[in-house]
Amino acid sequence: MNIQPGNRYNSKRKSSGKVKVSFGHQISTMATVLCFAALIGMVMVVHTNLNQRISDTKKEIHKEETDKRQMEDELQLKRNKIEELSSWEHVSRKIVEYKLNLHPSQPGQTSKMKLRSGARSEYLFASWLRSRQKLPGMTAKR
Amino acid sequence: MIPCNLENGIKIRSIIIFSLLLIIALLLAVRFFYIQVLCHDHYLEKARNIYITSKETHGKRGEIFDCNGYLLVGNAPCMEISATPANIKTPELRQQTAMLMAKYLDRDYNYYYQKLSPTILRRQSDGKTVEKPNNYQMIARFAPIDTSLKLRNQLREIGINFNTVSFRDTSRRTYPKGRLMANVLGFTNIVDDDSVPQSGLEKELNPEITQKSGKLLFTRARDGEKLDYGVNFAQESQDGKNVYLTISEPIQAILEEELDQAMIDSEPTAIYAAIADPATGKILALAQRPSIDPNDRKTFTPEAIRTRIAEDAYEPGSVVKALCIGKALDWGIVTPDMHFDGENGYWKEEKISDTRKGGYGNMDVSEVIQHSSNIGTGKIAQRMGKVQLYQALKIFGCGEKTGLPFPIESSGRIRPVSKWDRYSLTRFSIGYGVLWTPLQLLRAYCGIANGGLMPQLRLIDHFEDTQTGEITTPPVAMPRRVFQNPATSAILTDMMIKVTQPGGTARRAAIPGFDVAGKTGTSHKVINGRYSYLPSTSMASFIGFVPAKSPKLVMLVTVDCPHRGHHHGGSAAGPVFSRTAKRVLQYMNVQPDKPIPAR
Repeated sequence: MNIQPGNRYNSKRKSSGKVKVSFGHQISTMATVLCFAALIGMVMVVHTNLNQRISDTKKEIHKEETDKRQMEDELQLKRNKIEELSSWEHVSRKIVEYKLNLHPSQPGQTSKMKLRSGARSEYLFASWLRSRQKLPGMTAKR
Repeated sequence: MIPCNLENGIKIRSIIIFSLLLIIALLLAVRFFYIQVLCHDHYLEKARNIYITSKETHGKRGEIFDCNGYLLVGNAPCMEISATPANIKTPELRQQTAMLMAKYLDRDYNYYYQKLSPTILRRQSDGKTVEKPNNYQMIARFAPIDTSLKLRNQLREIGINFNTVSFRDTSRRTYPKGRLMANVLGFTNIVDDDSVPQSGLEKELNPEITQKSGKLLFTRARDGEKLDYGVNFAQESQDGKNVYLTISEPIQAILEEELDQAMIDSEPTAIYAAIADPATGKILALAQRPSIDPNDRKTFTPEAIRTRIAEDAYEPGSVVKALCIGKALDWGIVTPDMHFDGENGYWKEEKISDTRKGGYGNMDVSEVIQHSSNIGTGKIAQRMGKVQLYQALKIFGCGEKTGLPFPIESSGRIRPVSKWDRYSLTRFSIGYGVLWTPLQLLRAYCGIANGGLMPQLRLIDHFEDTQTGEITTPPVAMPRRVFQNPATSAILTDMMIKVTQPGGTARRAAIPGFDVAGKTGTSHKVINGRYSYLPSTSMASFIGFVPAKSPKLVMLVTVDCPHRGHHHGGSAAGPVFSRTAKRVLQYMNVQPDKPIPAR
């Protein structure tokens, strides 16, 4: 190696010649660079993919929320319709329209019974049924 | 070897190029500094205006239910469609848009084509009319959701986006039961995109049921999607509270059906009725005719729109007799076996007469009530004296509002004792010269039916916060003791049972299988400053409770100016009471307390 400082334009200066680097060293350096590049690339791709999936999931969530709101609105409308159809004004109109010939019951002709769950209530209900079967016009025991 | 002049040339060119690059870099740096630092706030604001969206969220107005949870007043989701016609660039697009709107909405093509005119004439402050871009038109305020979504999709296909035609979620008030309780429930109007209550419970309960708007502030992407970063502010909207009334829809429907029949039978100017539970004061039904259909604004006439049952006060006539006689019994001023001379039907001193010519002869107290004798009642009132009669009427709530949630409620009227004249004693005791509202009378009779304890009338059972589930019950005042003697109520009830039995004034109010205790009232209206005795200008009332010994309901029926058929309380209002109470008792599963006579 020529360590003497000199005029670089000195024609007498001789070239020291190329530094010889081994092929393996070159390969390993390239491989390292490529690995790092690949790693960086992979991280970028994964990051991009994750972001895309997050974005897609958010879109799906938004769509589901919109669908949920629409379903709630439909349920609300259906509920309102049920209330309208079950109003006595509507029912009585239909009774007349279809000539159902319904009439109110006589006092004592109907009775109601509220059952709680359990064996005792089943016994009571069976007794009530039996009493109804004996005398059809008889009211249920109070 | 490079010649010297060439070397200098390279140097000079290098310096020039370097200087140029340096100048460009400096200029860029200055520009960046100017944009990024000096104009930072300006451009940040500009970017925010583009990427930050402000959105108002609306809660839902509270709904009104009956005591069983049946919906009386609700919200129907719908869509509001508005347009910016100035953004429609071509006439063909305008035609296509109008055609699609006519296909899915309820108006015709020409209407929408006019609405989508790109310019609009506006009058300026100087009076000149100029043509300006049409930036806003309301297309449909309450369009159904399904057709709106179809329209939106079709518009998108032809290139019309939200900048040109926008769709906003909204809701409108709906009354699924139609006319049921319409006057009491009230209605709303749309003023500046808000539901503004106009009458009834909608107005009176507005502070509780009105919703609060919220605000969303967020950064959005180019496609409008909300981003997680950036500005993110949310103030949640709040739904109004739901209201549960004490009204029972089936009982209300029965009452309204019978009032419709009464309108045909008697052809009155108006008729109103109310049913209450005497033990709790809960109003089970409240109805009047004429009425309105809040879903059809054509039914909104001045006569039909008022809540007469709360607003109207009138001279009720003989229904007041039971209250005065009841207090006289309670104070021991009279006893049941006391007798009063019927003055042969005309009491000359007080200038009052009974309805039957020749009078009712010598009557005991129960016969005074049974025959609704003005003379007998007047004599009992004389024994009471002015002060005690005044106290008796006041204790039953005369001149005192019931406190029910109506925007307008009359308090009735009774003159102070100092302003009573010679005949006030005998007139006030028979229901003339004092003004009562139907609700006050109902409350008073609840006091008789409830063993002498007059409950506070209630229409609201509870409020429900839809978001937290919290239930709030309005405070209820303690019942007022109207009879000091516990036996008075039972004695008076026995007397009132005779009113609906043979010999009484309200035989047509009787119900087979039940003892009905009640009192009729027929009063005449003042027309042009004088009492008119025409049958068609009377107020015919019946108020009673059944079953008499353990009352499940108290009902008042008042027929205002019946133009057809009978005009007395027993014959005009009594049958309405009988038919309604019979059906309501069956619905409530109240068994008859005596054998039903065979037909």
